[in-house]
Amino acid sequence: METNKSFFSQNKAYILVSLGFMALTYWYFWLATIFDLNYVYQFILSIFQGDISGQLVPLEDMNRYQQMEAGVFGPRYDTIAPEITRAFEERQELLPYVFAVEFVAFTIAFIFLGRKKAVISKPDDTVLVYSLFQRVVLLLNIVIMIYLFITGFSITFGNITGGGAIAYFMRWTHEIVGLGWIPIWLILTVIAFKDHKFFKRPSGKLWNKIFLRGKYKPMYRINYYAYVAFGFLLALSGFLLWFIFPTAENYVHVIQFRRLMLFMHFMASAVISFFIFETIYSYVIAVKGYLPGLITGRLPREYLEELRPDVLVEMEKENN
Amino acid sequence: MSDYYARMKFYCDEQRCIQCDGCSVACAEAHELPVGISRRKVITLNEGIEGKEFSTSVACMHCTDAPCEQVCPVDCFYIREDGIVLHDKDVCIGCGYCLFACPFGAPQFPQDGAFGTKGAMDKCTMCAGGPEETNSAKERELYGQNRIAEGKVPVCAAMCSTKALLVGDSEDVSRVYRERVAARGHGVLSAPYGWDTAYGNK
Repeated sequence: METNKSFFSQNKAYILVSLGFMALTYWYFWLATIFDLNYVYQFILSIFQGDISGQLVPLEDMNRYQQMEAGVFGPRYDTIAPEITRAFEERQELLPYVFAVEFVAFTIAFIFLGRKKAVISKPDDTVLVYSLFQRVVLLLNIVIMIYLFITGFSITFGNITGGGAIAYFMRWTHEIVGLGWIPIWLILTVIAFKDHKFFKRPSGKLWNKIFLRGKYKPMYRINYYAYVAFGFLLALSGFLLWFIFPTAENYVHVIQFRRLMLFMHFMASAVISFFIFETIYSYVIAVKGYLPGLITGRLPREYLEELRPDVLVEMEKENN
Repeated sequence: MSDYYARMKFYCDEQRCIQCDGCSVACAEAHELPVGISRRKVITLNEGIEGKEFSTSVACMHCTDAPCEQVCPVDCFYIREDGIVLHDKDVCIGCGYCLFACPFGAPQFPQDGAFGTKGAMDKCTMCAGGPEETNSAKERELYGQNRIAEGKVPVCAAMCSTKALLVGDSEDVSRVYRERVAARGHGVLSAPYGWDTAYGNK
């Protein structure tokens, strides 16, 4: 019975992910980072007040040498820049181990928990689950994210690529394809918002073509909200890094802001990776997926009955 | 004398800089820099405030432990024995990490990549060219003149009309600095800009 389940077992995914985040936050902001945290906090406040320069102390309150430094080189260097260097080196050295640990963890989960597989005796009895619009968005998102991962890695692990024309090509296409991902991220965020049913039961046929059907299980829901939140940070920081082109004229005014944006891009990309891997594991490894469905939009009825009954229930409600 | 080799450094005396922009113009002309690239720039502070206005000229400081070299993912930087920090444009991927790490805003990026993205990084070479064959056409095209190979002073300092901008072995630059401070007879108004950041105690 559902009611006999303990609070922990009902909310296990939320609790474990929250604890993981707390441990990660503690490790990063109290042990690893060499940020001037007080400065960063004040800087973020000043950004929300419309000042992105990072020059928190007015020039007239400084002595001549401090003025000269701030006027020529921008705000205090030792507040954020050393952290950028440290975080970059950490990414180059630590990320391969992080991904290796994640890979091992998912492999262990696969070995012990196995794989759910639907028995399909009537493969021709299919149901249209994804509209053409939904398929285009989902496939574009998959293709673009794979490309951004590869090209992002080619920048981070430039010590392996060694630079040159191909790595240069991948770097600038990372910027341009990343811009193209922003509307895809936004649209997918909207159409995958299955929790809108908490608030309102959409009945029109247009809604059924826009929103993905079904309900989220806890870990799937976490993956979705992580995609929304860290995708937002990635899209915002990536866009601003591209949009605010560094020139000799704007250097003093924007360098500190760009450093903060790059740090945000570093952090968000590292965190979103875990949830992307978890999504791939959940949809393709832990449960035998039906990838042709993403092309044709149709899934076998038996597959839905065994693995995605929530989708069928929703479709029945739509028909009634 | 330095322990091993001359340690090349820049110093701009803001007491002498008259904001003529001769250094930055000379640099741009000598190296035929494209529009938008300013390897050297002159900045004025407290403009219009009597007694407080001053100018200074800034470019790559050729740091001792250059942060750009530490952070470059493709290791396109190299430091010559005389301390001049150079880079290889054929290796550079234009990621811009060097700009985030540089305390002086020296790295410059042409907006000539596809769809207005960054091109390969450009910065002051202290008129020492690049990794290509010395004084070759390719070196000149990518990095500009190689005056150091010809035994000449970098063009910015050579053109400075008030000799505010000094460049050379750190011992010699320090000696001139000390002589000027002593001649003024009122101590220093400011330490050499950026020296503590760029060179530490070395």
